[in-house]
Amino acid sequence: MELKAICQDNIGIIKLIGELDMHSASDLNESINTIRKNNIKLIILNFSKVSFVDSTGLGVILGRYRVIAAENGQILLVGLKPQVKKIFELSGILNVMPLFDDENSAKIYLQKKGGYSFEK
Amino acid sequence: MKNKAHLSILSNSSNIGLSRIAVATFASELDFTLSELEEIKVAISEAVTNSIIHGYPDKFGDIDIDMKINENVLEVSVADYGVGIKDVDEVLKPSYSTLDGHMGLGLAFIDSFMDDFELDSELEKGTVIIMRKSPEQLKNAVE
Repeated sequence: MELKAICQDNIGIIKLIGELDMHSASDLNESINTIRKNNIKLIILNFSKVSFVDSTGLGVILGRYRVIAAENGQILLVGLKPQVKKIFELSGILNVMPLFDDENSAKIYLQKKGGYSFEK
Repeated sequence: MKNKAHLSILSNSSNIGLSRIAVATFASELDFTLSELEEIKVAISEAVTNSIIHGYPDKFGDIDIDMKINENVLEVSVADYGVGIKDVDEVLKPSYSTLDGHMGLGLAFIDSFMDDFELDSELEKGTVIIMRKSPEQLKNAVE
């Protein structure tokens, strides 16, 4: 799995490319932790190029969510493919993490909630 | 139709992807939809991950994956020769997990995505999980 992380306007955005399982879960864990070290508590995970996720991948996301939510942060999910969305639905994760079609929709959601403001 | 294949891997996490692709490719001989093949991939990934994490917590070991097609039924067994499970009934309870950061959903996903499965284990001998699935469209045709 390839991960591309950027921090922008106080939001961490991680684009995941490939398959998220036990082999790649630790990379995602590390990437989220690196963003948190920059005191960023709003994280968008872009899954639009992820073709496979299993319970180990979900476990990492939920584990990081618990830590970030306890700090009044949020993890937002973007672009789940149908086969991946089914896994998220079965796990119940979509009850606690909002899902959006694209990154821009997730950013607008955060802006409306006052979670961040665009840099001028 | 009858067919069989065997894959023997080391309990290295880099082999999880290989396992699910191999089984999905074998399974595609039956009339599974793409969605059903994705479900099979999840089930195999969960079974192999369980063997790696729970069967061999402190070392590498062998995992044997046997695939069979008999008539319209895919049967896959994933066997390790590791530490085994003390209480199989306990493991089968929903959300059971012994590890932090794990949701205990592995067997729940296998149960959801395969038609049926059996788990057999013996302490210090190992664990085998046998999973079966038939294409949904053939089941509907029979009904």
